[in-house]
Amino acid sequence: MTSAPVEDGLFTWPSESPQLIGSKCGDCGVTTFPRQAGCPRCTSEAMSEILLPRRGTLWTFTTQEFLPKNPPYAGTETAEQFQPFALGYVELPGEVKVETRLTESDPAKLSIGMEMELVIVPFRRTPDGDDVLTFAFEPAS
Amino acid sequence: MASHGIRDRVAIVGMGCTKFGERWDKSTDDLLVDSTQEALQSANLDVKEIDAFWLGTMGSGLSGLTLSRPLKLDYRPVSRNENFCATGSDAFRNACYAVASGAYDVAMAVGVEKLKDTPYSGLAVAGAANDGTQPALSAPAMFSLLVPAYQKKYGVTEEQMREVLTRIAWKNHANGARNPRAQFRAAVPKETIDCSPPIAGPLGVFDCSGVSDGSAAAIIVRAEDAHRYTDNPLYVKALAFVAGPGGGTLGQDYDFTTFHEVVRSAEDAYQQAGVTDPRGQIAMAEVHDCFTPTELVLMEDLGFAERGTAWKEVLAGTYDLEGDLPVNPDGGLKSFGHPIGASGLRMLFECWLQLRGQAEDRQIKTSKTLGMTHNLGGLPGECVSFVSLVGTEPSA
Repeated sequence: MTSAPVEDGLFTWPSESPQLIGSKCGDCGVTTFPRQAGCPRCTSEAMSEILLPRRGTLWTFTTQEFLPKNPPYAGTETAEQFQPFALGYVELPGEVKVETRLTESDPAKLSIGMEMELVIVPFRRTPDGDDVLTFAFEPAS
Repeated sequence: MASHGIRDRVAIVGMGCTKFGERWDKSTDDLLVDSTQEALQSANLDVKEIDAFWLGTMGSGLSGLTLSRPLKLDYRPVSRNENFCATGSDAFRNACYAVASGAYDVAMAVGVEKLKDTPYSGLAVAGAANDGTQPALSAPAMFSLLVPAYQKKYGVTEEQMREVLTRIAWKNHANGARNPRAQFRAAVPKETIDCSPPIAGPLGVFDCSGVSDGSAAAIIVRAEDAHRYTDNPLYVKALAFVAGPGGGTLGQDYDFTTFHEVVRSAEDAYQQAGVTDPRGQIAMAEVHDCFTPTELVLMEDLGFAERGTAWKEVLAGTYDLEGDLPVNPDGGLKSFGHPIGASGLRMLFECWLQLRGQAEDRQIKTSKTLGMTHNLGGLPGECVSFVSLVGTEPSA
């Protein structure tokens, strides 16, 4: 049984202290996540890869209370197994708002502006029993 | 940017609209035949007299054949449009331009969507494969983000916001209860809406529009020819359409309390029609209430309320059937569901009924002559927006 990121180039892995991999536009300065070859704001191709800060603040959040349709949802749980989860935007200081899952699914324990930290979590399991890893943010200790 | 518009150059002389709902009894072809036949009858026209067709559908068929086959058209031009939730409205817009250009005398715009009886029964589409790198922000989750953003910006409490959203759902269902073509025809008590099963964030089932099948159609001619077909045509005053650059959360200027695309399309429409005071000049508006907070934000984006005040206007009943500016008098997406290609023309059908005094027991009482339809397609931060204005009086 092994574990591997859901997609290469998404976050540094394996790592004791993983970071999301973004890109920065050399012309207009916008930061994107995930990384992109062309700038989605000014169309420049002067994009360079950057490692993003591990901590940020919760910009806003919501909850997903029902199993999303598959596709486009890539999870493999059934409606009976589904557990509502929280998701939102984490603003990485001076960089970008990252659309992300949150590890804390109780909205009462989340508040806009709280400190959040990157974690790597299992997202689903392949038929061979391998864990597929993705990124999420948890309330920072 | 030049947007000259075609104010009063074309008119609507006939319309049709099916009952919306889970139409297990009707195929896409059946729905198209029903809506187009009703439109033809209302203009006393035979299908052979229609010169060209624009068909709006997002997923219920590709190419003009989707319409030409069931209507057995005699080798006529049919364009098939797609533009997210503004699909039907964009078909209407293009049909109007075709007549205004002089290319055709009589054009028909048709919208249809069959969301039931398909393997994928809902609004979401299976687009490019999702490799799991994006979290599952469903449409209700995305629009739910409007709620805390609006509360924070304007100092509205959670309890006040719940009352506002409930009021919007309650109003639209009360209107839909009076409409025989609506999917949901029951008034819903506020207490039921308040505690409906959670869908995403603060949104419950009753904050979301339904999933349904339906079709609607309009016949368009040159304004000077309109009285050959009907004694009371609707003149097209403005057609505005905007596709945003999709900046979304990339910049620091987007805060989830507005849709820039809606603001821009409304400005264009008002300029085309010479409207300077939308709140005072418009008799009724059909707007894109996909989720209750969407309707709240639209009231400000469309200029029906000052920024930060729409929530008070909602509670004061401004947009009720008997209010100053009735919004979604037919019941809206809340009561009709959202068969994507059909919705824009369904909204236009309500203008057709209301402005011509044919809306029966939901008829608004007004001396104003302008109606609006509005669609928003996509998500907060990256969407398309359509605004039309139609009216019973040609300009002096």
